[in-house]
Amino acid sequence: MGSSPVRLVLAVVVACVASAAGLSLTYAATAERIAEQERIARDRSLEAALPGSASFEEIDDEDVVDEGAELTEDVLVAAYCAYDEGGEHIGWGVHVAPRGYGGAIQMVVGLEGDGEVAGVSIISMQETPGLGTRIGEESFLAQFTSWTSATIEEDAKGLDAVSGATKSYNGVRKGLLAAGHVYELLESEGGCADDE
Amino acid sequence: MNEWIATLRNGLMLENPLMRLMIGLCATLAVSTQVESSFYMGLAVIFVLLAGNLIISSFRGVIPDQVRIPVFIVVIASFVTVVDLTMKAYLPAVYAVLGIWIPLIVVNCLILGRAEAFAYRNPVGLSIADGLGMGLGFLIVIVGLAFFRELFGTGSLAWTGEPVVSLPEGYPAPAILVLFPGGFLTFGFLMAAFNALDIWREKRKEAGE
Repeated sequence: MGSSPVRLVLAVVVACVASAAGLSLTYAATAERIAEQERIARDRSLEAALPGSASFEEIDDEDVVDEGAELTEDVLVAAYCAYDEGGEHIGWGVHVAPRGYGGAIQMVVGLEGDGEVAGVSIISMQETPGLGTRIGEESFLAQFTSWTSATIEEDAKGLDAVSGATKSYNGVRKGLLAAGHVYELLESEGGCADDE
Repeated sequence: MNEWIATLRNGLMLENPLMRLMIGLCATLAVSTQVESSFYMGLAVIFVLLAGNLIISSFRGVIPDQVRIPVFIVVIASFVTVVDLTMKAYLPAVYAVLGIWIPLIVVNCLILGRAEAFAYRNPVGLSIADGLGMGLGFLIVIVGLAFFRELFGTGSLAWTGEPVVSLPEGYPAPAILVLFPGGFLTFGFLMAAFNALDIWREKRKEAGE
Protein backbone atom coordinates (compact mmCIF):
# COMPACT_ATOMS: atom_id res chain seq x y z
CA MET A 1 0.00 0.00 0.00
CA GLY A 2 1.75 3.18 -1.16
CA SER A 3 0.41 5.89 1.10
CA SER A 4 1.37 9.50 0.56
CA PRO A 5 3.42 11.15 3.32
CA VAL A 6 0.49 13.43 4.09
CA ARG A 7 -1.74 10.46 4.79
CA LEU A 8 0.87 8.89 7.07
CA VAL A 9 1.20 12.07 9.11
CA LEU A 10 -2.55 12.47 9.19
CA ALA A 11 -3.12 8.94 10.54
CA VAL A 12 -0.73 9.44 13.43
CA VAL A 13 -2.02 12.93 14.22
CA VAL A 14 -5.63 11.78 14.26
CA ALA A 15 -4.74 8.86 16.54
CA CYS A 16 -2.90 11.19 18.91
CA VAL A 17 -5.65 13.80 19.02
CA ALA A 18 -8.34 11.20 19.65
CA SER A 19 -6.25 9.62 22.40
CA ALA A 20 -5.53 12.97 24.03
CA ALA A 21 -9.22 13.80 24.04
CA GLY A 22 -10.12 10.49 25.66
CA LEU A 23 -7.39 10.87 28.23
CA SER A 24 -8.30 14.40 29.23
CA LEU A 25 -11.88 13.23 29.79
CA THR A 26 -10.67 10.36 31.98
CA TYR A 27 -8.37 12.68 33.83
CA ALA A 28 -11.14 15.20 34.48
CA ALA A 29 -13.38 12.41 35.75
CA THR A 30 -10.82 10.94 38.13
CA ALA A 31 -8.58 13.83 39.21
CA GLU A 32 -10.72 14.89 42.14
CA ARG A 33 -11.06 11.37 43.47
CA ILE A 34 -7.35 10.69 43.11
CA ALA A 35 -6.47 13.83 45.09
CA GLU A 36 -9.07 12.84 47.67
CA GLN A 37 -7.64 9.30 47.96
CA GLU A 38 -4.15 10.71 48.42
CA ARG A 39 -5.36 13.05 51.14
CA ILE A 40 -7.22 10.22 52.89
CA ALA A 41 -4.15 7.96 52.76
CA ARG A 42 -2.01 10.74 54.18
CA ASP A 43 -4.41 11.61 56.99
CA ARG A 44 -4.91 7.97 57.87
CA SER A 45 -1.16 7.50 58.17
CA LEU A 46 -0.80 10.65 60.25
CA GLU A 47 -3.55 9.49 62.60
CA ALA A 48 -2.03 6.02 62.86
CA ALA A 49 1.39 7.45 63.63
CA LEU A 50 0.10 9.80 66.30
CA PRO A 51 -2.68 8.21 68.33
CA GLY A 52 -5.20 10.73 69.59
CA SER A 53 -4.66 13.23 66.82
CA ALA A 54 -7.62 14.58 64.88
CA SER A 55 -6.48 17.35 62.60
CA PHE A 56 -3.28 18.36 60.88
CA GLU A 57 -1.77 21.47 59.47
CA GLU A 58 1.18 21.48 57.13
CA ILE A 59 4.11 23.55 58.28
CA ASP A 60 5.17 25.90 55.51
CA ASP A 61 7.72 27.81 57.56
CA GLU A 62 10.75 28.20 55.27
CA ASP A 63 13.26 27.52 58.02
CA VAL A 64 11.72 24.14 58.68
CA VAL A 65 11.18 23.21 55.06
CA ASP A 66 14.58 24.26 53.72
CA GLU A 67 16.74 23.33 56.67
CA GLY A 68 14.83 20.11 57.11
CA ALA A 69 15.53 19.13 53.53
CA GLU A 70 19.19 19.94 53.99
CA LEU A 71 19.56 18.15 57.33
CA THR A 72 17.89 14.98 56.08
CA GLU A 73 19.40 15.03 52.60
CA ASP A 74 16.00 15.61 51.04
CA VAL A 75 14.36 12.71 52.82
CA LEU A 76 11.89 15.11 54.48
CA VAL A 77 8.73 15.61 52.43
CA ALA A 78 6.56 17.61 54.79
CA ALA A 79 5.96 18.20 58.46
CA TYR A 80 2.57 18.68 60.06
CA CYS A 81 1.38 20.16 63.34
CA ALA A 82 -0.98 17.69 64.93
CA TYR A 83 -3.91 18.68 67.12
CA ASP A 84 -6.33 16.59 69.14
CA GLU A 85 -10.08 16.95 68.97
CA GLY A 86 -10.07 19.97 71.25
CA GLY A 87 -7.60 21.70 68.95
CA GLU A 88 -4.76 21.30 71.37
CA HIS A 89 -1.28 20.86 69.92
CA ILE A 90 -0.09 17.35 70.80
CA GLY A 91 2.85 16.78 68.52
CA TRP A 92 4.10 16.56 64.97
CA GLY A 93 3.71 14.26 62.04
CA VAL A 94 6.83 14.04 59.94
CA HIS A 95 6.38 12.73 56.39
CA VAL A 96 9.66 11.30 55.15
CA ALA A 97 10.51 9.37 51.99
CA PRO A 98 13.73 7.39 52.47
CA ARG A 99 14.95 5.11 49.71
CA GLY A 100 14.06 1.47 50.08
CA TYR A 101 14.66 -1.38 47.66
CA GLY A 102 11.98 -0.44 45.16
CA GLY A 103 12.07 3.34 45.34
CA ALA A 104 11.02 5.77 48.03
CA ILE A 105 9.15 4.50 51.06
CA GLN A 106 6.53 7.10 51.90
CA MET A 107 6.16 7.02 55.66
CA VAL A 108 5.04 9.13 58.59
CA VAL A 109 6.75 9.37 61.94
CA GLY A 110 4.55 10.67 64.73
CA LEU A 111 6.42 12.70 67.36
CA GLU A 112 5.03 13.77 70.69
CA GLY A 113 5.73 17.19 72.11
CA ASP A 114 8.78 15.97 74.04
CA GLY A 115 10.33 14.26 71.03
CA GLU A 116 9.18 10.76 71.83
CA VAL A 117 8.17 8.62 68.85
CA ALA A 118 4.45 7.94 69.16
CA GLY A 119 4.25 5.66 66.17
CA VAL A 120 5.33 5.02 62.61
CA SER A 121 3.11 4.27 59.67
CA ILE A 122 3.70 3.67 56.01
CA ILE A 123 1.67 5.56 53.40
CA SER A 124 2.92 3.66 50.39
CA MET A 125 5.89 1.63 49.24
CA GLN A 126 7.07 -0.42 46.29
CA GLU A 127 9.04 -3.01 48.21
CA THR A 128 9.12 -6.68 47.22
CA PRO A 129 5.74 -8.16 48.15
CA GLY A 130 6.06 -10.72 50.93
CA LEU A 131 9.60 -9.66 51.80
CA GLY A 132 10.20 -5.94 51.83
CA THR A 133 6.55 -5.29 52.52
CA ARG A 134 7.04 -6.88 55.92
CA ILE A 135 8.39 -3.51 57.11
CA GLY A 136 4.71 -2.53 57.16
CA GLU A 137 3.87 -5.16 59.76
CA GLU A 138 2.82 -4.10 63.21
CA SER A 139 5.50 -6.15 64.98
CA PHE A 140 8.24 -4.36 63.07
CA LEU A 141 6.84 -0.84 63.31
CA ALA A 142 5.98 -1.20 67.00
CA GLN A 143 9.70 -1.30 67.79
CA PHE A 144 10.03 2.42 67.21
CA THR A 145 7.47 3.50 69.76
CA SER A 146 9.03 5.32 72.71
CA TRP A 147 12.29 6.06 70.96
CA THR A 148 13.22 9.64 71.66
CA SER A 149 14.85 12.09 69.34
CA ALA A 150 17.72 12.54 71.81
CA THR A 151 18.71 8.87 71.79
CA ILE A 152 17.55 7.95 68.30
CA GLU A 153 21.06 7.18 67.02
CA GLU A 154 21.62 4.76 69.89
CA ASP A 155 18.15 3.22 69.62
CA ALA A 156 18.64 2.55 65.93
CA LYS A 157 21.55 0.22 66.67
CA GLY A 158 19.36 -2.12 68.67
CA LEU A 159 16.68 -2.41 65.99
CA ASP A 160 15.59 -5.89 64.92
CA ALA A 161 16.15 -6.25 61.19
CA VAL A 162 13.83 -7.85 58.66
CA SER A 163 15.70 -10.83 57.23
CA GLY A 164 15.91 -10.89 53.46
CA ALA A 165 14.94 -7.24 53.20
CA THR A 166 17.96 -5.29 54.38
CA LYS A 167 17.44 -2.38 52.03
CA SER A 168 13.79 -1.94 52.99
CA TYR A 169 14.72 -2.11 56.64
CA ASN A 170 17.55 0.35 56.21
CA GLY A 171 15.14 2.72 54.50
CA VAL A 172 12.81 2.78 57.46
CA ARG A 173 15.71 3.26 59.82
CA LYS A 174 16.96 6.18 57.76
CA GLY A 175 13.48 7.67 57.85
CA LEU A 176 13.47 7.51 61.62
CA LEU A 177 16.88 9.13 61.89
CA ALA A 178 15.73 11.88 59.55
CA ALA A 179 12.64 12.47 61.67
CA GLY A 180 14.93 12.74 64.70
CA HIS A 181 16.87 15.51 63.00
CA VAL A 182 13.69 17.29 62.01
CA TYR A 183 12.43 17.24 65.58
CA GLU A 184 15.15 19.65 66.68
CA LEU A 185 13.99 22.11 64.03
CA LEU A 186 10.35 21.63 64.90
CA GLU A 187 11.00 22.25 68.54
CA SER A 188 12.71 25.57 67.95
CA GLU A 189 10.84 26.77 64.86
CA GLY A 190 7.69 24.66 65.03
CA GLY A 191 5.29 27.56 64.79
CA CYS A 192 2.22 25.48 65.53
CA ALA A 193 -0.78 27.45 66.72
CA ASP A 194 -0.11 27.21 70.41
CA ASP A 195 -2.19 25.31 72.84
CA GLU A 196 -3.66 26.80 75.97
CA MET B 1 -19.86 -18.45 15.67
CA ASN B 2 -17.75 -21.64 15.70
CA GLU B 3 -14.77 -19.66 14.57
CA TRP B 4 -15.42 -17.14 17.33
CA ILE B 5 -15.36 -19.82 20.01
CA ALA B 6 -12.31 -21.47 18.44
CA THR B 7 -10.45 -18.15 18.61
CA LEU B 8 -11.46 -17.68 22.22
CA ARG B 9 -10.32 -21.19 23.15
CA ASN B 10 -7.10 -20.65 21.28
CA GLY B 11 -6.05 -17.97 23.76
CA LEU B 12 -7.00 -20.12 26.71
CA MET B 13 -5.26 -23.32 25.66
CA LEU B 14 -3.49 -23.91 22.34
CA GLU B 15 -1.89 -20.48 22.18
CA ASN B 16 -2.05 -19.49 25.81
CA PRO B 17 0.04 -16.29 25.91
CA LEU B 18 2.08 -17.31 28.96
CA MET B 19 2.31 -21.08 28.56
CA ARG B 20 2.58 -21.36 24.78
CA LEU B 21 3.52 -18.06 23.15
CA MET B 22 5.55 -17.08 26.21
CA ILE B 23 4.89 -13.39 25.85
CA GLY B 24 4.14 -10.91 28.62
CA LEU B 25 6.34 -12.84 31.05
CA CYS B 26 8.14 -9.87 32.55
CA ALA B 27 5.16 -8.44 34.41
CA THR B 28 3.86 -11.93 35.15
CA LEU B 29 6.95 -13.06 37.01
CA ALA B 30 7.11 -9.79 38.93
CA VAL B 31 3.46 -9.45 39.92
CA SER B 32 2.59 -13.10 40.63
CA THR B 33 3.60 -12.89 44.27
CA GLN B 34 0.09 -12.06 45.50
CA VAL B 35 -3.17 -13.53 44.30
CA GLU B 36 -5.15 -10.32 44.76
CA SER B 37 -2.81 -8.05 42.83
CA SER B 38 -2.41 -10.72 40.13
CA PHE B 39 -6.17 -10.85 39.73
CA TYR B 40 -6.43 -7.10 39.19
CA MET B 41 -3.39 -7.19 36.91
CA GLY B 42 -5.24 -9.83 34.87
CA LEU B 43 -8.35 -7.65 34.70
CA ALA B 44 -6.28 -4.65 33.62
CA VAL B 45 -4.66 -6.71 30.86
CA ILE B 46 -8.04 -8.03 29.70
CA PHE B 47 -9.41 -4.50 29.48
CA VAL B 48 -6.44 -3.13 27.55
CA LEU B 49 -6.37 -6.16 25.21
CA LEU B 50 -10.09 -5.96 24.49
CA ALA B 51 -10.21 -2.21 23.99
CA GLY B 52 -6.97 -2.15 22.01
CA ASN B 53 -8.00 -5.03 19.76
CA LEU B 54 -11.43 -3.48 19.22
CA ILE B 55 -10.08 -0.08 18.15
CA ILE B 56 -7.20 -1.41 16.07
CA SER B 57 -9.39 -3.94 14.31
CA SER B 58 -12.11 -1.36 13.63
CA PHE B 59 -9.67 1.08 12.03
CA ARG B 60 -7.38 -1.47 10.38
CA GLY B 61 -8.62 -0.35 6.95
CA VAL B 62 -7.54 3.26 7.41
CA ILE B 63 -4.29 2.85 9.36
CA PRO B 64 -1.46 2.96 6.79
CA ASP B 65 0.91 0.01 7.03
CA GLN B 66 4.02 2.15 7.48
CA VAL B 67 2.83 3.93 10.62
CA ARG B 68 0.81 1.13 12.18
CA ILE B 69 3.24 0.56 15.06
CA PRO B 70 3.17 4.19 16.30
CA VAL B 71 -0.62 4.17 16.04
CA PHE B 72 -0.84 0.89 18.01
CA ILE B 73 1.39 2.32 20.72
CA VAL B 74 -0.68 5.50 21.02
CA VAL B 75 -3.92 3.51 21.28
CA ILE B 76 -2.51 1.02 23.79
CA ALA B 77 -0.80 3.68 25.90
CA SER B 78 -4.06 5.61 26.12
CA PHE B 79 -6.04 2.64 27.40
CA VAL B 80 -3.31 1.81 29.88
CA THR B 81 -3.44 5.37 31.19
CA VAL B 82 -7.21 5.05 31.57
CA VAL B 83 -6.67 1.92 33.69
CA ASP B 84 -3.91 3.66 35.63
CA LEU B 85 -6.04 6.68 36.54
CA THR B 86 -9.15 4.63 37.29
CA MET B 87 -7.28 2.26 39.57
CA LYS B 88 -5.63 5.14 41.40
CA ALA B 89 -9.05 6.69 41.98
CA TYR B 90 -11.09 3.62 42.91
CA LEU B 91 -8.69 0.89 44.02
CA PRO B 92 -5.89 2.75 45.81
CA ALA B 93 -4.94 -0.26 47.93
CA VAL B 94 -4.40 -2.44 44.87
CA TYR B 95 -2.62 0.35 43.04
CA ALA B 96 -0.22 0.71 45.94
CA VAL B 97 0.90 -2.89 45.36
CA LEU B 98 0.91 -2.98 41.55
CA GLY B 99 2.47 0.48 41.25
CA ILE B 100 4.82 0.65 38.27
CA TRP B 101 3.48 -2.53 36.66
CA ILE B 102 0.27 -0.87 35.53
CA PRO B 103 1.96 1.81 33.37
CA LEU B 104 4.33 -0.89 32.16
CA ILE B 105 1.44 -2.74 30.49
CA VAL B 106 2.12 -0.33 27.61
CA VAL B 107 5.28 -2.22 26.74
CA ASN B 108 3.87 -5.65 27.54
CA CYS B 109 4.57 -7.64 24.40
CA LEU B 110 1.32 -9.54 24.85
CA ILE B 111 -0.74 -6.45 24.01
CA LEU B 112 1.33 -5.14 21.13
CA GLY B 113 1.83 -8.70 19.91
CA ARG B 114 -1.89 -9.37 19.61
CA ALA B 115 -2.49 -5.99 17.96
CA GLU B 116 0.11 -6.75 15.32
CA ALA B 117 -0.47 -10.48 14.90
CA PHE B 118 -4.23 -10.61 15.18
CA ALA B 119 -6.32 -7.44 15.47
CA TYR B 120 -4.66 -5.70 12.50
CA ARG B 121 -5.47 -8.64 10.23
CA ASN B 122 -8.85 -9.88 11.44
CA PRO B 123 -12.45 -8.60 11.66
CA VAL B 124 -13.73 -6.89 14.79
CA GLY B 125 -15.74 -9.83 16.16
CA LEU B 126 -12.83 -12.24 16.02
CA SER B 127 -10.47 -9.63 17.46
CA ILE B 128 -12.72 -9.31 20.48
CA ALA B 129 -12.70 -13.10 20.90
CA ASP B 130 -8.92 -13.06 20.63
CA GLY B 131 -8.58 -10.28 23.21
CA LEU B 132 -10.92 -12.03 25.60
CA GLY B 133 -9.33 -15.44 25.14
CA MET B 134 -5.76 -14.18 25.45
CA GLY B 135 -6.72 -11.99 28.41
CA LEU B 136 -8.47 -14.82 30.24
CA GLY B 137 -5.59 -17.17 29.45
CA PHE B 138 -3.25 -14.60 30.98
CA LEU B 139 -5.46 -14.08 34.05
CA ILE B 140 -5.81 -17.80 34.80
CA VAL B 141 -2.10 -18.50 34.54
CA ILE B 142 -0.96 -15.45 36.51
CA VAL B 143 -3.45 -16.13 39.31
CA GLY B 144 -2.43 -19.81 39.35
CA LEU B 145 1.23 -18.84 39.64
CA ALA B 146 0.45 -16.34 42.38
CA PHE B 147 -1.68 -18.86 44.25
CA PHE B 148 1.23 -21.25 44.47
CA ARG B 149 3.87 -18.63 45.21
CA GLU B 150 1.88 -16.75 47.83
CA LEU B 151 0.51 -19.80 49.62
CA PHE B 152 3.77 -21.72 49.82
CA GLY B 153 6.12 -18.74 49.86
CA THR B 154 4.48 -16.82 52.70
CA GLY B 155 2.39 -19.51 54.36
CA SER B 156 -0.97 -17.86 53.80
CA LEU B 157 -3.25 -16.34 51.17
CA ALA B 158 -4.59 -12.84 51.71
CA TRP B 159 -7.50 -10.98 50.10
CA THR B 160 -7.95 -7.27 50.82
CA GLY B 161 -5.33 -7.61 53.54
CA GLU B 162 -7.16 -10.36 55.45
CA PRO B 163 -5.65 -13.84 55.44
CA VAL B 164 -8.13 -16.27 53.85
CA VAL B 165 -6.18 -19.52 53.87
CA SER B 166 -3.29 -20.23 56.21
CA LEU B 167 -0.92 -23.15 56.29
CA PRO B 168 -0.40 -24.69 59.73
CA GLU B 169 1.73 -22.73 62.18
CA GLY B 170 5.39 -23.66 61.97
CA TYR B 171 5.46 -24.13 58.19
CA PRO B 172 8.90 -22.88 57.18
CA ALA B 173 7.88 -20.59 54.32
CA PRO B 174 10.72 -20.56 51.77
CA ALA B 175 11.11 -16.89 50.89
CA ILE B 176 12.78 -17.85 47.61
CA LEU B 177 9.34 -18.58 46.16
CA VAL B 178 8.29 -14.94 46.36
CA LEU B 179 11.67 -13.76 45.09
CA PHE B 180 12.59 -13.74 41.40
CA PRO B 181 14.17 -17.23 41.27
CA GLY B 182 10.95 -18.62 42.71
CA GLY B 183 9.04 -16.95 39.92
CA PHE B 184 11.12 -18.73 37.28
CA LEU B 185 11.02 -22.05 39.11
CA THR B 186 7.26 -22.00 39.61
CA PHE B 187 6.76 -20.92 36.02
CA GLY B 188 8.93 -23.79 34.81
CA PHE B 189 7.05 -26.37 36.84
CA LEU B 190 3.70 -25.01 35.73
CA MET B 191 4.79 -25.20 32.11
CA ALA B 192 5.98 -28.78 32.58
CA ALA B 193 2.57 -29.65 34.01
CA PHE B 194 0.89 -27.92 31.06
CA ASN B 195 2.99 -29.92 28.61
CA ALA B 196 2.37 -33.18 30.46
CA LEU B 197 -1.35 -32.53 30.20
CA ASP B 198 -0.98 -31.88 26.49
CA ILE B 199 0.99 -35.07 25.86
CA TRP B 200 -1.49 -37.10 27.88
CA ARG B 201 -4.40 -35.73 25.85
CA GLU B 202 -2.59 -36.41 22.61
CA LYS B 203 -1.92 -40.01 23.63
CA ARG B 204 -5.50 -40.54 24.65
CA LYS B 205 -6.65 -39.22 21.30
CA GLU B 206 -4.33 -41.59 19.44
CA ALA B 207 -5.44 -44.53 21.53
CA GLY B 208 -9.04 -43.67 20.80
CA GLU B 209 -8.54 -43.68 17.05
